[in-house]
Amino acid sequence: MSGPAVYRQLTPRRRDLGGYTQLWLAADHILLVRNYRLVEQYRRFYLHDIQAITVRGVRRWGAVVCAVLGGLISAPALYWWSLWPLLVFGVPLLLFPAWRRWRGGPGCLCYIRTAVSQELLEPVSRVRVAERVLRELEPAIEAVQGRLPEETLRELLASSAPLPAVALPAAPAPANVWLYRVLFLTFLITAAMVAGIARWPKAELVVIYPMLLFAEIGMALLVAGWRKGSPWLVRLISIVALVLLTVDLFGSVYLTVHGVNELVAAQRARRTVLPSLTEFPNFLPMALYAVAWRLVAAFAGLLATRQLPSPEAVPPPVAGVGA
Amino acid sequence: MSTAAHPAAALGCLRCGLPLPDEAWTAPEGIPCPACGARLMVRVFPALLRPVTAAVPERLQEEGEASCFFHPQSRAAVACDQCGRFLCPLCELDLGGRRVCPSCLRAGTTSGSMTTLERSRVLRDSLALLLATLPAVIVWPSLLCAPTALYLTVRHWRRPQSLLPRTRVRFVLASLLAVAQLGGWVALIYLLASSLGRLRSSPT
Repeated sequence: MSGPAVYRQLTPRRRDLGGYTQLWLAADHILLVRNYRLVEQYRRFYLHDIQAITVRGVRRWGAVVCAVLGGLISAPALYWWSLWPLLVFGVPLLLFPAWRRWRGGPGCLCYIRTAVSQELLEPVSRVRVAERVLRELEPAIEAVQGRLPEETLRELLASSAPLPAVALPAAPAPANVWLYRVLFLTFLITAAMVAGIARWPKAELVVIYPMLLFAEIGMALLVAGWRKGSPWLVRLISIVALVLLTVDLFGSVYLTVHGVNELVAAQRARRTVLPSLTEFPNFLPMALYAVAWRLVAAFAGLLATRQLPSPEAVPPPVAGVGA
Repeated sequence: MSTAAHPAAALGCLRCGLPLPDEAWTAPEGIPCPACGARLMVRVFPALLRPVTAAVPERLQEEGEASCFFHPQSRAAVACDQCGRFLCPLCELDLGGRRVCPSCLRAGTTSGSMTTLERSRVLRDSLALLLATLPAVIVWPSLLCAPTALYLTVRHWRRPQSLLPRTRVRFVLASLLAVAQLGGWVALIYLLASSLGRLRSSPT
């Protein structure tokens, strides 16, 4: 059979939590690669079949979100716990993506259209990259298909009657709505549990907390990582939740270390009565913080998932031109 | 070229779905959508205006004419580039400029022999590296994972791991780490055995 195709890199890697996506060009097709660390998935678009490439400019708020979250994290960290490592390492880490996003230039969505599909090219997320990709792709596609003379196009547009509004195929309904709901319900459960810990400190509810915290982090990572499938609002909530969960994790580690210190001190002093969890320094502000953000995120997330279309409501795709 | 349909029927604004204005088709730097204001850059290619025609096989007219392998009553138009069988236009499948028959396509999909049909690949070098690194943190799983990483390295050393250019550096790293871990285990077992022997041989 045919030998392996020789590929030329079209775009840089667009990394996310689950891996990266990248676009490569062969002699007769474009290869869209989705890397999941241990598995690579491929999607080919033959130059012969490409009907159009459309780029739409979008506003990306990632830089602003990162900067605001950096500030939000550093202030309570400094005030409550004096966690200088969080301030020294956490804030620059949060500001780094903001700087990267700002440096990348304005954002865009790039779609490639063939007779049977219209696909989002995820690696082309910046206008600068889109322009470079178009500069490279146009001659390659024209070498295969020939050039569409501008006069022909003008004549065609002039001779055709204007059409009424045509709806594009709607984005498919996300198949993982159940995961979003489980995540947001888990936020509610954890909020209730943290409130329970604060109210009944002797009930030993705290032993379940780490499990719930790690479950929340795992699910939020999954939702935030599904770049294509998750709606933007759900993704935004899960990304913000991830940052807030990290703060919670730091808080839990801090309380655990404090608890161990108390235990050691009690053993040395031969004390049998240990201080209650609520007597730990900053426990109540931390509990209040954990409950408050979870309630807000859970209700906002559950409202957002209510707006999602059901899988049955997806209209059929619009037929292409063919005379 | 037929002008039965306006090209805007095929492409609309990616945000609001309304048909693109005529200027959008010829402005290389793009224009804002008049309805929603989204900035749009459009490049159209001749394939957009290519008429979609259904493949209609011709019936055999004379005795001795080559017929389709799958439809003996239809006249053959091309030969399969893979197996050489004669095919009518209905059975001819275009695969990136190559013509193949349905059975070759099926065989290529199931066996993975046609790289142009591959939709995914397991990156065994990354898997080997993962097996050689992560379990080492917890120490004891490396007893199982290090040999597995070595096995993957030896078994798949010559196989291409990805469709894209990729070096074997992960395999090299994985094997070095796995050998080091196995060496550590051997040394540990040797030390334990020798100290046990010394304990047994001591007079107390």
